[in-house]
Amino acid sequence: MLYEVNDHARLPIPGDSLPAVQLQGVGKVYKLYHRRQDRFLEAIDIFNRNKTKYARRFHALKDIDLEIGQGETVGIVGSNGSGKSTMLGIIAGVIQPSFGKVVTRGRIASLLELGAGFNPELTGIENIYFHGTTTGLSREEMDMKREEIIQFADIGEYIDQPVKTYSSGMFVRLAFAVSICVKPDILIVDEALSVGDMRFQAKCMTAIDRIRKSGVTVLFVAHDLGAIKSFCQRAVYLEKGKIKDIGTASDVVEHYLRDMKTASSAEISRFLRSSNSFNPEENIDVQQTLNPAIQTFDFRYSEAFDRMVAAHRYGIGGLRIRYVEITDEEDQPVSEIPFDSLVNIKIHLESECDGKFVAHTLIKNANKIPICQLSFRLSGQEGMVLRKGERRILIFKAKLPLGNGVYSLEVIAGRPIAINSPIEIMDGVQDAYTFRIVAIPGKPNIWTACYIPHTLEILHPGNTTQTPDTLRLSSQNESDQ
Amino acid sequence: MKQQTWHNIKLYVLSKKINTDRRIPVFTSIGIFIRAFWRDRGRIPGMVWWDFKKRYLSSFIGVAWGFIQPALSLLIIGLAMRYGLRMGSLNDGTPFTPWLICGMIPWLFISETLQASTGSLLEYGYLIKKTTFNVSLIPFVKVMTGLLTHIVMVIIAGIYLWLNGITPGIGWIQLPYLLIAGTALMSALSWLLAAAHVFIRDIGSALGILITLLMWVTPILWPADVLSPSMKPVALLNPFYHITDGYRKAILHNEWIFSDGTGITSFWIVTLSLLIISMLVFRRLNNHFADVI
Repeated sequence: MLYEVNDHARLPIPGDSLPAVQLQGVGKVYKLYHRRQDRFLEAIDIFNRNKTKYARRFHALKDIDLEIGQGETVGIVGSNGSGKSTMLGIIAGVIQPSFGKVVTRGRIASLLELGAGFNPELTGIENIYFHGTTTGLSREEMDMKREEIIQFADIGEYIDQPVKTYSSGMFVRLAFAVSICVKPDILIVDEALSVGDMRFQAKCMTAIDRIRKSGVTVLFVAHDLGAIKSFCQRAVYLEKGKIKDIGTASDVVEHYLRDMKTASSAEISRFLRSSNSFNPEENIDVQQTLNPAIQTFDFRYSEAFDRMVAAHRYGIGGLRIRYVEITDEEDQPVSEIPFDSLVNIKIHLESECDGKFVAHTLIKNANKIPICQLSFRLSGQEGMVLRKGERRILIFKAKLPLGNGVYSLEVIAGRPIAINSPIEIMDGVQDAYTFRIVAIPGKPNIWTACYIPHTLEILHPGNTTQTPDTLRLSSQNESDQ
Repeated sequence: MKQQTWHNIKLYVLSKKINTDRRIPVFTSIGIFIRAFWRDRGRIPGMVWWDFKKRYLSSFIGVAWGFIQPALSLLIIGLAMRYGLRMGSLNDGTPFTPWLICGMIPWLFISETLQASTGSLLEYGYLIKKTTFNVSLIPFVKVMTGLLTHIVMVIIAGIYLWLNGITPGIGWIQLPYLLIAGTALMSALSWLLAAAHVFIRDIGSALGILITLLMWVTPILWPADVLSPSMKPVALLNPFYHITDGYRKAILHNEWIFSDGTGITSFWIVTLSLLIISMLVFRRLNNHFADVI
């Protein structure tokens, strides 16, 4: 049963297996007004039927049709601005849809953008009761839940302080504790949890898992795709306000990841200008020693790249880094690199003066600690002589035996001064390329920063020899035998 | 179980779109407003309590201010009139101080409620943006908070007047009617002003002037009989006049309010129209609150 127009029908939870959430043809148009008053004038203007003269329109959501069954856990993925939060807001009833029908069955608890409707002036305890008042729970009911909430939030004596003095972490702890302890039928969690520390996040996940198993419908937005994969049965992939894919969580997340990869390279390629083709004969060294498989070289120059690195660019100039990318063995740009697989790190350089130049790149981990370096000297080369305006593509071919995580490249190009001394830096770019090392399923995982190729031998000892004290251990082992 | 829930989400393709901006009949619209309001009525007492508590949160004597404040303001009026201005009585022999008190009590309720409710939606913005709270309760809660203070004030004033020689009469039983009439009028104005204020913040600044203007337009500090006969019908359109005059009739003169048929009829015509307009406007603007606050 669907209610009249834009009234969000909030029905009690039914006994039968009707869906918990139904969206039919839901759309949201944000009107961008020039002045605040225009919105008011438009809303009360009953003579202007088309309502065109007041605002520009922006479609945040279009034609969303979705049914979520009772007890389902559904993840929502999509890039920023794809309408995830708008959709959750509409389901929560905070945002009114411009089109379509919304039906929800059961009590909804929502944690939208860090908030559960707390009064900043009241203390934590008072807000627990205030929340009860606004959601229609009696004082007695809240009395019963009070201890459970305080325990879950675990914010110590801050519970007696006004909420306005809370840190964002404490705020979300209390908000989540209240939301989950009032036993909702539908729980909506919108990225808010990322504010809490890891221990609290783990606790929340356990709590969500528990109420999920007790039959509560959970809607879940997280940037941690792994959580969605492992947690949700189903996922919805939104793009530009439309449902692009809907299905089992792992399928949808994979689809989304695939799109993200192509999108990030497309983003940059959009600004790419292929310029005069690189002539392989000009630099036989590079071609033969580094990547004989690639026959055509398009020099890449992209404004997007320049913009991306502009903030942390340094150097005196004279040599410019035009583009940096990592490609896989098929020469396709990659952002997720399987552990220890072969990649090409390509650096496109353009000289602005005559001279002898070198360049190297540092692989840095998420904390910006340099993990390893790839350079001319380490690969046995001295440098390259270029005239003004000449262009080169350096291709470092390497395996990346690094632990799981996010890495970035810092590329430094310049002029060598003397052997084994720092170079004169002409152009240095940080975060020139960002990538993630992922474990290969079924292969051994490493938990350290990097892997050193090694072998292992296990020997059977022959003679027993008395050893000095420092080697007592081995002799003890032998006597055990 | 996993397999089964898979099928619970289905992709529905609906060709027909429903535009929620399309106009729905006036009485359906009001019906929806009232139905939602009635459904959530249970939350009003709790909200009034929190509103009261919050207002006096950081003060030492807390909620007691809600009762001390009106008592003190009455005392000041009384003292000023008795020892300061030394006003005697009006032309018709009514003593001036009780006459003024009876006019000021409802006016204090009106002006304080208008001020509190106009900014109420911004004050409770976190409820509007983050939760599904029924927004129409918020201005009404402000009216109820004002009404509580007002009732205390009426009781204190009743005792004061009694001590000063105005014996309670049969007219005093009309006070509940006046409370209801005042609540109806103030709810309408609160919904209207609170909703409009979200979009036109200038209302907040202009409100003080508006209240002063209303106070002088309404016969509160001056007796209504100084009005020229041609202005009398205009005064009937002023709903505040019915209220302040009602208090004077009930308390001072022990007169029946409904003996003035035209007065009561015009008051309710104006108030009910304001209620209908305010509900329509509030419902229409309701969808936009979360986007603007």
